[in-house]
Amino acid sequence: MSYFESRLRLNLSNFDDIQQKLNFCKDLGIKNLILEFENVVKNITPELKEKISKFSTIKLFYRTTIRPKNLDDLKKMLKQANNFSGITSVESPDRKVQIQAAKDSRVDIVSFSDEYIIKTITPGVISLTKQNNSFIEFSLGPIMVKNKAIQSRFLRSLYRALQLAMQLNANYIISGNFDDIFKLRHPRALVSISNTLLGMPLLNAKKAFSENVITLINRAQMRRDNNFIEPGVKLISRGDA
Amino acid sequence: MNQRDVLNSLWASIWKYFGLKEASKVGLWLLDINFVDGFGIVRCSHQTKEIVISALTLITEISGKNIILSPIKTSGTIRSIKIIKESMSFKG
Repeated sequence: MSYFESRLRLNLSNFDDIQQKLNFCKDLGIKNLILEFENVVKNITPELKEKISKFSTIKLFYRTTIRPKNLDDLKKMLKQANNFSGITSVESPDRKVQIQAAKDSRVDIVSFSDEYIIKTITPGVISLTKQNNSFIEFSLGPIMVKNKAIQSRFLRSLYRALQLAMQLNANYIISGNFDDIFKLRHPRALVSISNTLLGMPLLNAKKAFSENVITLINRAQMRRDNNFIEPGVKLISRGDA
Repeated sequence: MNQRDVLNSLWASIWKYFGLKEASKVGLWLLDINFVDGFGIVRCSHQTKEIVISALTLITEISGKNIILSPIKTSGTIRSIKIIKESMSFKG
């Protein structure tokens, strides 16, 4: 089974840092990586993709995260992100924005990565993402903080949110989302943490790091296909199988 | 940093995150550690494998140095893991 690190944030202005992080991921044995460039909403050029792919042999995918403050902001930002060929995710503590993002077919992920955002998750958003075949994202990044009080508070919030997602049979993925290279971990190790500390069955935890991510990538690719209507419905020309 | 430091950190991590109840079931042995190549073999009860992997993952520093302990391979017997280790060392 091939595991994915679904969120590695990179700064495009610092190519040495990008190279260092990718080499680190390679040393850790990570084979599939979804990169997110900070403050980049427009499309990533093929030249840039080629330049980055030269750094490493890891299979790379791309995503962008928009952080709207309100509904108008969401509409504007989604228009801007429309040309982006990768995965589009929305991250906001505002419940109205979350609900609108979950309804919008252009949004692949509604992200609940930070502690203050995790607490705002509701069954309504989960239900809407299920209807739209989009995904909910949780991150394990804040688990690696040194402060025990903050760590246990985050674990509690994450535990509650994950149990709710499992109870409602949600589509969800779990990412690492680590800032510091010394906090980066292999997704298989994060599967163990999800199983032992967050009470997820091992099979569900593995799915959240592999199968669900593959489904998400396919969803983002299919969205670009003009003939695609919805899962299971596709326009075909006469004679096509 | 030596073998004892690594083992102490691992026990501390197990105690910190899983407590006495789980720590008593682990049956932990650090069989081999090679600081030069960055390999080591940890033996534990198969029922607590996930706990040991989690505890290893959650270690961030030993003796004030930033450390990443990442699982490479798990196996049911020490013999087979040694064979795997040798083949990995051979590949470089």
